[in-house]
Amino acid sequence: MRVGACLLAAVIAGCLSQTSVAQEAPVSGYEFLLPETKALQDDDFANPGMLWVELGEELWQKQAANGTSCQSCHGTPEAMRGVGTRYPQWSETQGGIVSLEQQINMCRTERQQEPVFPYSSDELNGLTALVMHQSRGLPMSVATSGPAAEAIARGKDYYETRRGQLNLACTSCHVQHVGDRLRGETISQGQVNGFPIYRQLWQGMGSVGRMIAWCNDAVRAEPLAEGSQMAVELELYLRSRGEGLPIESPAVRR
Amino acid sequence: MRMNRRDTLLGLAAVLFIPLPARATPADVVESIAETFGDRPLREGAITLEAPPLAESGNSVPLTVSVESAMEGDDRVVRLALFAEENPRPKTCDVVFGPAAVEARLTTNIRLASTQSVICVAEMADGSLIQARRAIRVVVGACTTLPGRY
Amino acid sequence: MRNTRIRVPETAASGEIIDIRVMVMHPMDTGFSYNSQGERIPVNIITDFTCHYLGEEVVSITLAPGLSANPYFAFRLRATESGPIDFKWVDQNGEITTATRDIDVT
Repeated sequence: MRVGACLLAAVIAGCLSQTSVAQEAPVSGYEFLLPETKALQDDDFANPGMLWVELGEELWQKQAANGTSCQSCHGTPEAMRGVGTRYPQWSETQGGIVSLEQQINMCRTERQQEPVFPYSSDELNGLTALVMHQSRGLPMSVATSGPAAEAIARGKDYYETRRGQLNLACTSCHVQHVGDRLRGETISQGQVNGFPIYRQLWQGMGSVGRMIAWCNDAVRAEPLAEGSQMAVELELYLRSRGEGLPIESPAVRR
Repeated sequence: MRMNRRDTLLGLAAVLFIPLPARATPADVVESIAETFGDRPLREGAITLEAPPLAESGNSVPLTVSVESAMEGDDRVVRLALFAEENPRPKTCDVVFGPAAVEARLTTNIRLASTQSVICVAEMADGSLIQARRAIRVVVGACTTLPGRY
Repeated sequence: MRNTRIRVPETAASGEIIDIRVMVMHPMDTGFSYNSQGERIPVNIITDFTCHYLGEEVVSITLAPGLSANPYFAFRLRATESGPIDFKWVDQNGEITTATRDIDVT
């Protein structure tokens, strides 16, 4: 009888201690768009993000002063297919999680002896868009075990913590109010399978880092610097959260 | 330093003041049309304005304008302009159709500051002006009304 | 020279009406937005676009900030002879971007 009561208490305690709402199956932000915006993303000519993919193609072949180019080491951009599904990932040499943008800049400095491209520059957006575009249609699948596990746990914690003057956590909208309206907008799950995106609000391209800083600003919280450890770990968590969603880069969003 | 209630309210107002572009009035649009085409009478004409009924971003609304015209003689469309009735600057573009044009038709993406009507005024070879208008609803999202700082 | 995207069919039958689609990378700043430092971003737009076919003007567009960023235009022309279709964009500072596509008309 006492054992039974203990077991019952344990089961009830287990149910009550679940702090986050059960995550439904991942749904891409694409599903939350009006038909015209979906059509724009699907139109490989008119999708404005393709301007950056083309810029990336030019930069891919451009030779640095020491004669190297992306092409000279990696071959054609098509060889990058699959690479985009794995980033951000653990880097042994860096001893931490690196994003695709950081990996590109590492190649710039270490292999090409060229300065880094600043975050959110056209050049970096172009190269990121090019590499991610090669993986279009492939499911996101970042490594979640090993050294990445702790980073994902920190990213998840950030995602669930209230912050800013509006005192909202990412989950406040993107888990608890998915499908509800914020004035004219339908709240999505905040998945990142489309990044880098062409965002109509920005009338330009944005990385996950830019989006994170924007969301921070939206709740009047201190924006995470793009490329900071927390921002990259948060991106890793976001990609693990959307595991299986097909990459859509360059996606078009509101 | 204790701030009294008046100072707090004034400070708050100063912080929240974001200068927003003034909307155009119907008189501004008439003026803009007159500036573009001169002060000539307008009549309704066979202009089709294709646009989505609802635009989820005012920053980019796809629009196709086409004038039913044989593009010959007096029926030839020489020029057209697109006006957004309530934008801070109503005129969005001015299109001249050259000798090699065989259709008075253009697709582009325009910006609409709010739900409003788009007016197309076209000039024919005989100097007459025709116009048409179309109402387009622009949805405002809560997050996307923020000034784009990041 | 700014990045452009142009879609012109490579071949056409004589007399066929063909679709031309063009886009150029440009922010088309309206002067009403702010950067992350809270400073106003000044107006910065492309002001003119022209298309010529065999040297004759097809369209000539004057752009205003009321057009979206990365201005996109689609229009039509009748293919008569093989030859070049020329595109030219000019921004508010006079900076010129040009491009050409040849069409083979049979």
